[in-house]
Amino acid sequence: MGREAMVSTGYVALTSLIFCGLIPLVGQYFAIFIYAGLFSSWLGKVRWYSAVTIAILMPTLIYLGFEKGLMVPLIKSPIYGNPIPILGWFPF
Amino acid sequence: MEAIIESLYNLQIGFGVSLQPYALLMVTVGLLLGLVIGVLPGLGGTAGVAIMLPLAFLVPREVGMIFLAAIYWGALYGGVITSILFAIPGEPWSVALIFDGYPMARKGQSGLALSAAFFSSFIGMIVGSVIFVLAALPIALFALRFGPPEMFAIIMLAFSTFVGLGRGSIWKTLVCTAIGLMLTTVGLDIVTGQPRLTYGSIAFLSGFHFVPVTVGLFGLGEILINTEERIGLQLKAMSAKMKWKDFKDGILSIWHRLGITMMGTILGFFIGTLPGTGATPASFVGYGVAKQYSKHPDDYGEGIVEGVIAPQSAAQAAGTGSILPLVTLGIPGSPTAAVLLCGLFMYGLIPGPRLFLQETELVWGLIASLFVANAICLVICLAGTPVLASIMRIPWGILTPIIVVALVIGAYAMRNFMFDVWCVFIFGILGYGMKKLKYPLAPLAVALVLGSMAEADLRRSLIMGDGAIGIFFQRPLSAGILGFAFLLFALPLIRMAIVKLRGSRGAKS
Repeated sequence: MGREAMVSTGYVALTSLIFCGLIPLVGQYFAIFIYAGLFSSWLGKVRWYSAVTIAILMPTLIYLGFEKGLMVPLIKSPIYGNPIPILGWFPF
Repeated sequence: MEAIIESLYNLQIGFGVSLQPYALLMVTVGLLLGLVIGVLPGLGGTAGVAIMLPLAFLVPREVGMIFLAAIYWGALYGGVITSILFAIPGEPWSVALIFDGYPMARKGQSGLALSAAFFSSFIGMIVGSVIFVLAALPIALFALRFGPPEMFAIIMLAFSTFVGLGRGSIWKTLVCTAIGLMLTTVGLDIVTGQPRLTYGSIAFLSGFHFVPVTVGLFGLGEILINTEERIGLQLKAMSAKMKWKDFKDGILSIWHRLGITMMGTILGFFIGTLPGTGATPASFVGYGVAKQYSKHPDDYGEGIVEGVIAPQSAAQAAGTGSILPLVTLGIPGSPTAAVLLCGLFMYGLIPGPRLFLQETELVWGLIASLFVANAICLVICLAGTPVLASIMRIPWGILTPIIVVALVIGAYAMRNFMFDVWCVFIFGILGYGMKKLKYPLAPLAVALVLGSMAEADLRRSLIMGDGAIGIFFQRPLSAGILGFAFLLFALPLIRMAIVKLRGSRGAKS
């Protein structure tokens, strides 16, 4: 295995670890947002607007599919159900 | 003969129910939901049927039961897609498809692998349904004679057929089987309820669920291997185009391997009728037996179409077979059938021979829906395959986070348990390491899926026999099956001995 391949594999493993570690801290939806945005722009080297689209689209679709469609609750962010009125409506 | 005529008459009534426009609509909705659930790793057919139970209560019971069953059929088909295209088992019964389906996709034959899997599913389910109609009561009565010793023997048979999977080393295969079995012992003792190997951790109390472990080993491990090899899913998109030729080749490949298809179907159907088994052990046994009796067993695992046809026809027939003891005797043949049993109770029905004889429209509507749902699902899958194949054209940098997120969220949603998320990551790294060291992952997954079932049946058998192991050999059925399993275990060693003997003779001459 070459050095470049080893580094790439290490980065994929590292980003996966960061994603898993973020879930209990910021909730699954924000963790997906950060992970998908970070991965696609940094490792995937896709254009910035594609990375932003993916980062927004993925948690939104997962929210609609799991929470609304299949009624499976996922871990929410600390601002979910926030007593501050402007954030209280925040769905995830 | 009279029974057959009566069955065919009842089937006609059943078609009258399942071909109503409303029933057809609900079957299609159920199949689409099942396909989506089957594609999502972690969210299995059992969970899918369970989630939809409240929704099914809103429709008439005849249509509601058909709808719930359609989710299961859809999930049986849906697991094929992720296993072949991404080496990610959407369902436990599609783990066996990875062994040859994924190597076929890597070789640029994903279209053929998918169409062969769909057509073998179709054959498996149609033939399974015909057997179902013709031999419902006698087979269910025979399966009732199976006690824990026979069930343990059947699982041993599944393990024994997989000893041959270790292409590199039999010992590595045995080590992986042992690791899988050891992982199943973590958690609560199934008989005494005492914590076991938990080291005081609350997370370990619930044990290692096979879904996050399998998802990690096969899913994340494969993503890391892909990254390292720089093959990436992006490049494979070139060979993922579906053509009419793939459909034709899929049909022809089954036609030329009708023996394997029928073997998988009949074996799968029979295993499916056994209480508590279902499609997962059937798919493993189907694959293992096809390999064991193949003229070219070494080609299995390299990406041959037989390795797709055998497990998929067995899994689909087993899914059909698992409904048989449910409708005739009220005993679920699989975990999903157990949820369907809940559906029957939800409608105020008590499953059993009386229900089978009295509720003709409901029971035979469900049986007829096997044929209807299968035909619709095949059309959906074949028409949808080009769309599914187009997933592979998405750049690696976008597809990889999508898959990782699907793995992690799917594993979490199974039990709403953060421990499962960490399992995906840890077993992903482990799977990557094992692949690098050429340790086979399949026996570990098989042992993990069937291990707790094997332990439960072993301990129940020992309780039945007052702790004496003789119980397994006093009963002719378990003795016969175990004897066959031991023979299969010993077969690679016998082969090695024969090769050695021939080698030494050759050297002498």
